Amino acid sequence: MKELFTLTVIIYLASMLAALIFRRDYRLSIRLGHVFTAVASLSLLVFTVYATSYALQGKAIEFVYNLGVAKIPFHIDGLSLILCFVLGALGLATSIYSPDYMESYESLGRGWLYLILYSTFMLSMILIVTVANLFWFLFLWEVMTFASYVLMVWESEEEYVRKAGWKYFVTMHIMSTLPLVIAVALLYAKVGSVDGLTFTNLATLKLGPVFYALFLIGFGSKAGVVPMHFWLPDAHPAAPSNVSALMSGVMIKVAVYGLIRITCFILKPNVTFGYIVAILGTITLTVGTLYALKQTDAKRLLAYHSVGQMGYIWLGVGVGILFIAKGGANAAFGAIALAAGLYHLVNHAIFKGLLFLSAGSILYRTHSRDLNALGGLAKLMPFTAIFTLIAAMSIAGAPPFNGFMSKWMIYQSTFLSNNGLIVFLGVMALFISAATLASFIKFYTTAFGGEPTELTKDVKEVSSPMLMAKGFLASLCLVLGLVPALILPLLLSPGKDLTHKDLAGWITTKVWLVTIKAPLMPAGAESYFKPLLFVALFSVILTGMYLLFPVSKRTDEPWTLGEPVAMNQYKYKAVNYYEPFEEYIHCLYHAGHVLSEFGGKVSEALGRAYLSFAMTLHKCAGQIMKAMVSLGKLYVDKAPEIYFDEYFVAPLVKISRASGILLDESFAKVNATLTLALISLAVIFALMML
Amino acid sequence: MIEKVAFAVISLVVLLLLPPLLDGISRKIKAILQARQGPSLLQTYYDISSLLSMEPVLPTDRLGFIVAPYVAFAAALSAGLVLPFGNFIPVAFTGDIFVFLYVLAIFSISMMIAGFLVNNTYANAGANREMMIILSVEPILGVALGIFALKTHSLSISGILMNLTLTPSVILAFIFLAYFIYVECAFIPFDVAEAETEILEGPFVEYSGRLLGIFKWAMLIKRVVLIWLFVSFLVLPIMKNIVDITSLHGAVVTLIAQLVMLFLFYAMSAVIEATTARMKITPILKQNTIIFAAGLIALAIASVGL
Repeated sequence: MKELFTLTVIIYLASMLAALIFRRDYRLSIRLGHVFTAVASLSLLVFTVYATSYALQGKAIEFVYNLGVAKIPFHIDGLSLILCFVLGALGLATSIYSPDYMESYESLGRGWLYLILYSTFMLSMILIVTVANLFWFLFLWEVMTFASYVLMVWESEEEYVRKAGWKYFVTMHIMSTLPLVIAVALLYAKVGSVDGLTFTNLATLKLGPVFYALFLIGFGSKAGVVPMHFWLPDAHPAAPSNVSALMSGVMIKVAVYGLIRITCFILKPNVTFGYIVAILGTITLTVGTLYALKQTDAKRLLAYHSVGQMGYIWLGVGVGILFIAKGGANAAFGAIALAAGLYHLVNHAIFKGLLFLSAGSILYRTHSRDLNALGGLAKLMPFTAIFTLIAAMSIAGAPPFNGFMSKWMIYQSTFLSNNGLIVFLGVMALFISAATLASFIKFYTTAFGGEPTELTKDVKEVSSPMLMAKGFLASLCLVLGLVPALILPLLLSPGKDLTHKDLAGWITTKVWLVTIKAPLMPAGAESYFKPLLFVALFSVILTGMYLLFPVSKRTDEPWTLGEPVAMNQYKYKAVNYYEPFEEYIHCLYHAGHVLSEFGGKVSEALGRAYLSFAMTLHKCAGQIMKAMVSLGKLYVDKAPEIYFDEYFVAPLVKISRASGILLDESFAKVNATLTLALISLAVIFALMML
Repeated sequence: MIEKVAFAVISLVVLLLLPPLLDGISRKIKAILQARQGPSLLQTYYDISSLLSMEPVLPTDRLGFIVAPYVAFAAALSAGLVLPFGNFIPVAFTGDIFVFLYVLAIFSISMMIAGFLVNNTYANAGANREMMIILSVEPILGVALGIFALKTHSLSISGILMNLTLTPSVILAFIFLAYFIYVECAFIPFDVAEAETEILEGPFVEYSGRLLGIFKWAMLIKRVVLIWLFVSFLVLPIMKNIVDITSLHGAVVTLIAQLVMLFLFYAMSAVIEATTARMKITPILKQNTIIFAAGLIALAIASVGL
């Protein structure tokens, strides 16, 4: 079991090596590297499948990597495996998709660097969700942020990419890393050693509300929860689409993992905290999705929906924490709510990954993300169209796709809570589900509907590996919706671990059936759904009607009432969709705009302050260094004779002089400065702790 | 066994064959109220059967546009098949009201996608309006369901029906549900999406022949399904106190009561239709927001236990 996991890690490391060996050849380095990452993802998936049967018995896989200088403990239970599944599935899809997609970035070169960063990014996330020591968690967290940052600014010659990257980098360090560092430092002060920061050890401590707050901010800003979401809609679209898929698909989910792992397993579930998470989730889903509604840039629209859907996940998780904390019969209900949130986490990873890959395919072929300009792609890219439609229907929550199943469970866990406030949160979730539908009908029908436009008329379908990657995710959308029993036991296991309750009386999952029971529910009033039976009935009616009333394909021009209208002007543009509604809620947009301006200014100011502080510090250090160097030079020049010991000192002086000059040159570049500062920080940090 | 078959046949008749008749009755009522002679009661059957016999002319060869009417039909019919007919549920793939509503929503989804797929501003405008109506009316539905869930601790259709007791908030929930259903049925004044005289039936403008016939039929089925849900919500909680619904006799009585109420409500909606004029979309949005705000008060009332 452990060996399979180690194998995954080793193959990821090997992929970096392979890319490095063939670094002269852009295509070869990426292709070969992605072969390795695909195999690594497969082995992670196999590991997940094997380990699941183990985790379902309530056991966890524990082992320690002894690196000589450090011992890194690992603890893999149901919660970790859920994230491992997501990482494996999305890692596999992007590994298949990326080699062809990255060809469009060939002019930028550095394929080997891309691959090393990709592998580092994936590997850091895999280790984050499995490691069992808070210090290493934080270290890997920083590696993840850093790798994703560099991947994000891959097209750094574009102004907007640099800006988005800067925003991401500063926000993540101030709002995510800093609170986590403070929290870890406080905990370190309590336990006194790195080895004392293991999860099991920390769980024995009694910790106050300040930790809840620090972790909430730290993970909330990474997850893109309102009001800490403002970086996300800029950051995710700026990255290459395969990286966007990973960022929106997995990276923000890792924050949810962190939240559950730390506030439920290390700290204890808390009722007030549960309320806060659920309410933040509801605000997030409302704000994120209503903003998404008016976007006309394909990737920006998707990024706003990542914010919105993250709200659904937080709502489910929050209600889960709340009811688990209440205990008794409520705890079982809480476990179901937690599973609902986690179900949406898995589903969102899959359909959002697919949607970003689709947007990437459109970008790859048309070089445009503007939904106003695109059109008619269904005729030219039929498979991409079908996969996108499946993903769009999944995220919109149309049965029988996976998004519906998880939303359904979230509705169950909010509406059946016997708590007016939570029911209200459920009502908002129901409303926003319609807004999501609106947005994705727009996304699909503008890009794929109508007839090909000037921009799209010569477009071809993307290559078969790219289609295979999307087809794989699309089939997961369908399978996880049709047979929830495949994944529900795993999703329920974190709740089981937390409550130590047998959930058999509360939720039944069979291949063809899901039944949910809530506290106070009268007998015979359980909610149940048989997705397979529904699909069978639906398709029988559909095919029956089609056979009874078949159609021939006799086509003619659309009817323009006799007006000579050009066909490309006879269709709504993306910007025209839902205009009256957007106008109707414009005060909300306006308030949001003011707030985001303010937030942007604050983060900008903080970033500038940090930068100028670092620059001043560097200047001072440089001057001191210069003074020392010139002092040494003066001495060497002036000294009448050179003594033996100076033969030892002189080279050191020369080296420091040269490095001083070198550093001075490179520090003129902001990003390089930050990069170096960060790496040295990490090294110092690591050295200190060891 | 024979009873089951009989009930199955009746439910299929109610879902498939009754809707055009109800539409015919509605048209007759509207005509009488407006002092016209109006078409025959069977006119809608003639309309649909003549449409079904004609080959359509398509504005595009796009698969989504061709499949949409079939999907809409399947959605409306499958949703109808989970509702109680007396004590009989034809195909119980779910008992849950959310699943029912989402399956029914596939009708609207396919209508909107079809409307947006074609190069025709009228079809686009219709789909656009349909979506905005759904956006504004969904919270009201949420409030109604929230109150039912708070009061009965259940979200399954039969669970709500069997445990409903009359309290102030439940009465309000019924009003919200009725409003939602009336709006969703796209009766005047909420027929903005398919406004015949204004945007040429919106999403249906490019449909013709067989495809139009199926779409119209599906639309009528959807109306009956929605009203049947409401009728069941009204009739079954009352009937369960009067007769034993599980017995054959009770089931038949209940089914007859449901049918009577269905006719009654369809006739009532015809009266409202004949006496009101179509609203514009922005006033509808405003009106729905106000009703939603009222709904939140009702939800608060329900959560304090009334």
